[in-house]
Amino acid sequence: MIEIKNLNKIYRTDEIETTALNDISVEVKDGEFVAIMGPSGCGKSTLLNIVGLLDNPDSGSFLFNGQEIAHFNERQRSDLRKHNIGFVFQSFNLIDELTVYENVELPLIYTGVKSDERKIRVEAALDKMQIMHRRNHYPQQLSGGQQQRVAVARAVVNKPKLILADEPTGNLDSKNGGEVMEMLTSLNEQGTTIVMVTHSEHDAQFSHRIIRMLDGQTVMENILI
Amino acid sequence: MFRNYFKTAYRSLKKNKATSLINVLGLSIGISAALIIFLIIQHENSFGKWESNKENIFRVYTQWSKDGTNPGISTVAPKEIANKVTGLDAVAHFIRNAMDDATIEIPKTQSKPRKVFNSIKGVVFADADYFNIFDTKWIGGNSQSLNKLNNVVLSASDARLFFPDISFPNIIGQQLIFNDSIKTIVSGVVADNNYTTDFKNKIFISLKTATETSLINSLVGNPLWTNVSDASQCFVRLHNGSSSENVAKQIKNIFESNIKKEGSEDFVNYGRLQPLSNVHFNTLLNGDGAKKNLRNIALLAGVLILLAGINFVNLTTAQASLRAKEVGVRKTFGSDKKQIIMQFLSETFLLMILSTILALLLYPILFRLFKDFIPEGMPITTIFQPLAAIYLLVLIVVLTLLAGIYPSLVLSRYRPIQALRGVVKGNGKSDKIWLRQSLIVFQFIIAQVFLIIVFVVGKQIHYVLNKDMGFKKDAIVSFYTPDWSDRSKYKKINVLANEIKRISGIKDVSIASGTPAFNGWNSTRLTYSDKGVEKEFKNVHVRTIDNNYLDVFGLKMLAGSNVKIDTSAKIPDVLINETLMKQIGFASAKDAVGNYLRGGNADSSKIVGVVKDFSTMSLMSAVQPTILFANDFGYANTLAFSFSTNNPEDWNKTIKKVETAFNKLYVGKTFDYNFYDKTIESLYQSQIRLSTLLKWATGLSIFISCMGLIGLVMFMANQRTKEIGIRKVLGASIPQILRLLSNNLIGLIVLASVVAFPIAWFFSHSWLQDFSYKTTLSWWIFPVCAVGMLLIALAILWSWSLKAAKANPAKVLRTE
Repeated sequence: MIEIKNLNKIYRTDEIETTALNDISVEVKDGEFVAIMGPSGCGKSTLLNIVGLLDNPDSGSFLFNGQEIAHFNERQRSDLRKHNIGFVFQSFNLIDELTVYENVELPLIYTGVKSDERKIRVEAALDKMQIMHRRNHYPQQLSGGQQQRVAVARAVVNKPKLILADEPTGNLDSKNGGEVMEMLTSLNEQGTTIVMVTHSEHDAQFSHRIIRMLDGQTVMENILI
Repeated sequence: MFRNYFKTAYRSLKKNKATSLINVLGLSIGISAALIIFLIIQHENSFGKWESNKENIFRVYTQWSKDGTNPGISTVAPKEIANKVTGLDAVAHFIRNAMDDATIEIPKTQSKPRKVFNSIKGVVFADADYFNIFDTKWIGGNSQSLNKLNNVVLSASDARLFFPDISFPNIIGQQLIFNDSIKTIVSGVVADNNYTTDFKNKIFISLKTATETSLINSLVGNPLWTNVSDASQCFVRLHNGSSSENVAKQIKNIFESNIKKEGSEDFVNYGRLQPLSNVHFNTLLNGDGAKKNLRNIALLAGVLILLAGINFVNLTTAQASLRAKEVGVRKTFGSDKKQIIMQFLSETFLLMILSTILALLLYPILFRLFKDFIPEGMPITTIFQPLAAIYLLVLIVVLTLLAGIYPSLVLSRYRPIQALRGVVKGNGKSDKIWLRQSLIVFQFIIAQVFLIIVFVVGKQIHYVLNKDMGFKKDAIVSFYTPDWSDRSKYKKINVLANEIKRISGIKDVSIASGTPAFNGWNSTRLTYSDKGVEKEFKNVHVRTIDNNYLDVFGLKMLAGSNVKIDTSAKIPDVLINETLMKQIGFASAKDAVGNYLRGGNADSSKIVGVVKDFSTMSLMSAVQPTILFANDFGYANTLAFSFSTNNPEDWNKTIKKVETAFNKLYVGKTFDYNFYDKTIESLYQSQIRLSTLLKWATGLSIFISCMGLIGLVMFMANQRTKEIGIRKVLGASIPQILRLLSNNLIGLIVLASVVAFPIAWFFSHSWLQDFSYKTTLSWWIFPVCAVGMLLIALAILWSWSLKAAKANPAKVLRTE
């Protein structure tokens, strides 16, 4: 699904140049569950953003489903993203002005799904994440665990092929964190490819493969069975 | 999709209540003002639009010098035009303002007593063609009846008023007597015209009633080609296809040949054509709708909307960073730039709708504030028309685009990763801040310019109202007597003056053609024979006075003696003022006395004295050469009296007694008196109006700008809560924190003042050029206004920053 070769990304400010990704090559196959680990600033979030089509690399090759997309413009990236990728963030990133239901509905609106169909799919997603009873609440009325379940529901409602999770349990206690990991595992078992950035060795154990990064490069890969 | 946009928009407005309120309040004031100006413009443009064939209708007016025009025409011209000019379908002639305050009597019949109606308006003398030009629906009778002497056509409402229990067909043939002297028979009834028009004529006496008697002379003067009164109005309708240039040329030729026949060849005077659509707007020809006034209010409405729009852009871009996460999430989940722009435009649209609703609620209030500028005959209910709704809708869309597009673009440009991380441009200190600062400076420049101009206008009005005009204006009352048709030497005004003289509390009474200065123009041509050389003086201002005039108005003699009233004298006495004396070329006042002048009302008149200069017009004009004729009782209808005490309570009692005397002599007429200082004030009516409008404009622009300032201070204080907390932990005092929060903005306001000074000076200076006598544009006005503005801004800044400065740092930092 994802083939990254010799990818570079450098952040520049007036005085400082920071190499976030240094000639990195990564491959993720369909149906895989991959965890990316490494210390702060090693470039794992940058990698995730590029994989998630939120950012462009400076050089190198990025094949998504066999298509070279390293130099897609924003519109093309946005189009590819909304049909193929779901996101789960550490800080949930729910829109405060929208209810649980409306937050989950959002990706469907942007992909132009009809209202009747949207209702069925949102309710199914909320049901699956066991958050249906909170559908009319606003994010700030929910606990962290509940918010992350809403975020997961939002990530899966469009039935994406790939889910990118950026420290999905970082803001959760161990019970809620465990529940989120089980949801991701279950999604993966149903065929969704998952790439997860994490600091937690415990969470990484849910994946099939751990990519360890340092200074913008992969330093080790652990394959878990 | 749009439902989602509006839902988010609504919730976001609700969440940011303070900002929304500031935006809605400011915008609603601007929109309300814009609505009123639209209604005014629409009303003004509706004049002259109702007549069929309107594009073929022209008024014939008089050009009497290169720049001098008169909306009227010589009374002998229309008949000649009708007879000789080709290409015309109709030539209407009517005499307006003939009886502003008519008394109408229905004489006693066998079955009914005599009935009298006073103060009836809209009486004109008109010919039959009037109704061929101005569309009219006939209820009874026809226009031809106006070709006969002593016929009168009534509008339905007046017919009802005079004859409430007689059916319309039976009203025809009834007798009406106007002003005790003109006996008429009702020959027709027409429907009231309900459209906007400059000619509010309702009662039409046949023109022949005036022209075939001597009545016309007392109405508009002698029937000469060189004699023009604005009361004599002539309208023509061109035949379809005939050219207006050709008609105008023929009319000019007719004037030239007839003026030659009259032997006044040096008199440049001829008729010209003015399109009906132009009649209402051309102020030189007495049109009511001054386009300049409209431009002024339109400008004001524009400025108010602009200021409110700036608030919107400022507050929205300042708060954009708070919306960054939302934009990030939306973009991550598939929204493109266009959708983000649409979403924020929807939000702006919703805000505009709310503002418009509030604007409609504010409409009655602003309608009252602008009442001096609202044309007569435009009701508050004008708003209930489909066009107003369409206008508001268009205004909402235009404002949404103008105000919303920039903030939407800023928000839509956020890159999702940065937005989600909260690292976005426009967050606190960034490159976008210069724009916000420039906009604040711009707002305060406008407010400051307004403030200074208001100050200067106020100072000038105070100056002209208090400057010595060369005569007394306090404790004097004047009024006109309705002696329009009485040319006898011993008319009622003289009787009344004698009655008033006897009333206790009266010091002096004078009969004259007008007070020393009034809102009008009365001038003549004079010639002086200087050792056989004829010298001509045009536009010499004229008053006819009696021998009490100087005492009542406190005019000062420089040489010679007061005029003597001798009705049998063939050569009347005159007084001249210093300016005329110098123009004629007399070396001193004493030299002038005893010389003779020609012109005015008499072939020859004798200078018996010279008076010190006084103003015959407002102080916008310099002192004019002026001549005061001894009153021959022919032209005077102004009565003025002064009081013998200084107690206003006594004055009121005295005026009551004068009114009783007036009513005894002029039965059914209105005693409409004015204190002379108020009359002088009315000379500056348009300046005082401007001053009122400017005061409101200034108040509202300061209000809107300060609202914007409040919004920004609130936002800044919130943004810097953590910084304030840390500074306080490190020992900063509350004043130090206040200074921290306000320093930057104070700098901007000072900058705005400095920029505003030359602009305000320019406008004030050019406005003052309209006056011959002007106050000094003192330097201190500028710093005083700037300090005033700064104090207002500081009060706002500090009161809103105080909460942030006082917050407990421990609590603030814990929350962080």
